[in-house]
Amino acid sequence: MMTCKEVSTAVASDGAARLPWTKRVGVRLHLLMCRHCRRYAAQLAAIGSAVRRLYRDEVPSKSLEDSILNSVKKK
Amino acid sequence: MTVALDDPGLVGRIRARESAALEAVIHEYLPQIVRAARGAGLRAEEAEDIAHATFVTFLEKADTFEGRSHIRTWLFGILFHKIMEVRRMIERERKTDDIDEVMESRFDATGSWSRPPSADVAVFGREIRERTAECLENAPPKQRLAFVLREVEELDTDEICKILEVTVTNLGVMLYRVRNRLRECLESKGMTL
Repeated sequence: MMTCKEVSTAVASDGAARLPWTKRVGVRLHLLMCRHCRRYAAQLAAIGSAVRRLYRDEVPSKSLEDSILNSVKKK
Repeated sequence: MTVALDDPGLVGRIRARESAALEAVIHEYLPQIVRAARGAGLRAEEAEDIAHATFVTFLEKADTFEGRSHIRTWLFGILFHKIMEVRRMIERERKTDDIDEVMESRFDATGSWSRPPSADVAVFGREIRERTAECLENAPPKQRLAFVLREVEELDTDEICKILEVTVTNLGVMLYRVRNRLRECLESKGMTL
């Protein structure tokens, strides 16, 4: 049985994908049974999507594109 | 003339300064580069300047690019080095970080939560976005860049490791730290539904 500490570390470091399959199953089973770790994982996922939304609307100005194009064409 | 970004001859066309190829690459990758620079903590103006400089360097070095990695990987790599120069980022992830101790204190000796995550953390709406932006300010730029390459640009582990010149283990440590730092910070701000 994996501990909460091991499971939360695997989740936060994207490490689960690199674990041997027995451990990967262990992470899944643990998440099914432990509401604290499930909440923790859900919170990290929610934070990820908040950051995605935060930066998604960052669109560079058209003038920046043109000025870069100008300076790279000249050289 | 149309330009496909997966055209194997694209690098050659860029070296030849072919307008259509340059336009296609800049148009495709400029938004990603600016976004990553913003995500790493640069102000809007700074981010645009550094994006500009990134493409200039890219073109200057185009002759040495062997096409073994993706153009995007190479561009992000140049951006990373430029941000490091501006922010004097530490090259290596530190052995210890405040957040490691915070996380230690959340578990008991058997590895179970002694202070489980608060049920009140919910990340929705504009207010939470603003709080998230504030909390991100406290994270070191390299961790932030790793985080936005992963979460916003959704790049895979190998590509991020190439860009940031770190091992897979090191990237794991950075992601672990930045995510926990954000979560702890939001929890301390009492984010509720």
